[in-house]
Amino acid sequence: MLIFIKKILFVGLSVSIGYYLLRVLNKKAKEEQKIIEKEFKDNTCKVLYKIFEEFKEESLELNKKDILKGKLEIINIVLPNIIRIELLLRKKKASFVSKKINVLYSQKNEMKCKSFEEEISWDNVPKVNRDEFIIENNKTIAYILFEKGDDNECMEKD
Amino acid sequence: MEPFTATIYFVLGGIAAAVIILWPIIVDIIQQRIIPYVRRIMGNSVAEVLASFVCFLDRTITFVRRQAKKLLKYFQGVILKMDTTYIKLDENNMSATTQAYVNNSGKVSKLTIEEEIAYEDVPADIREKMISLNFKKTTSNDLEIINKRAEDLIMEMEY
Repeated sequence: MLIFIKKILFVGLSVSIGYYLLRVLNKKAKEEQKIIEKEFKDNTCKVLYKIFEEFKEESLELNKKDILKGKLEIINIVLPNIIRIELLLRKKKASFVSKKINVLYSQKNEMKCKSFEEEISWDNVPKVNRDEFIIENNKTIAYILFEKGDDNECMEKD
Repeated sequence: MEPFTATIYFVLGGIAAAVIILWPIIVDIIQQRIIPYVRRIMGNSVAEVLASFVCFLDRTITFVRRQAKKLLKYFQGVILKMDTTYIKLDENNMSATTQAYVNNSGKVSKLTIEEEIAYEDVPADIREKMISLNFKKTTSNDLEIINKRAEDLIMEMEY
């Protein structure tokens, strides 16, 4: 009887420690997630700035600070040729997500598209997007970052 | 510790390590097969609860994976050189001298560990090398082995 009680206590204690550890790790993960999200956003803005630089000759002046901060409304004024900017996250493999930025623009009455694609590890995808992949069972998630004429905020969900 | 308890710990540890390494694949299977199946059989609400639980686990496990990757990369930067020299003392014993150069915040320090080990505890490849070449003394580059294992582990985590 005593051995049985001892074993029950042991299992209970192990489960409690496991649960406590999971809670502590989860709390730490929440804090780290903010950094991951910021890195993801900064990286997207940097890529956008690089793409915009190619349009520089047609534009007025590109405000690097605003673009790196994600204030894309400024494009309406400085880059009038740009019609739409999309961000596509596509799950290619189990461990990798392809991040594609499409910039749609018009040139001599023709629609053209400039794309930038990179692969990011599942661990470096922001939590919000990972959850969306799991809950919605989507292979692709699309966001419109900017649409001409709209006063959209950066990273607005499609 | 009783052998039974030790076995349970060992098995649980192995399962935890496998789950951490193979987590993206596990999530992919749950996302594409298990959740839609549960949704079809048990309804939306049960599937949502399961999905939320997977999301909770995902947050923790990806955090652990990131920390493990950081730790492996940190280790690669701290240990500059590490090798072990094995000398055959007699039929059953060998001496193993491990020398490591450690980068301690910019200051390099040397660590030496000397121990006598039983013949069967020597790594198999070292034993093979000593037998085939009839050497009494051989050296193994531990850092190269550790780095290769760490890189394999990171690759396993990412593919």
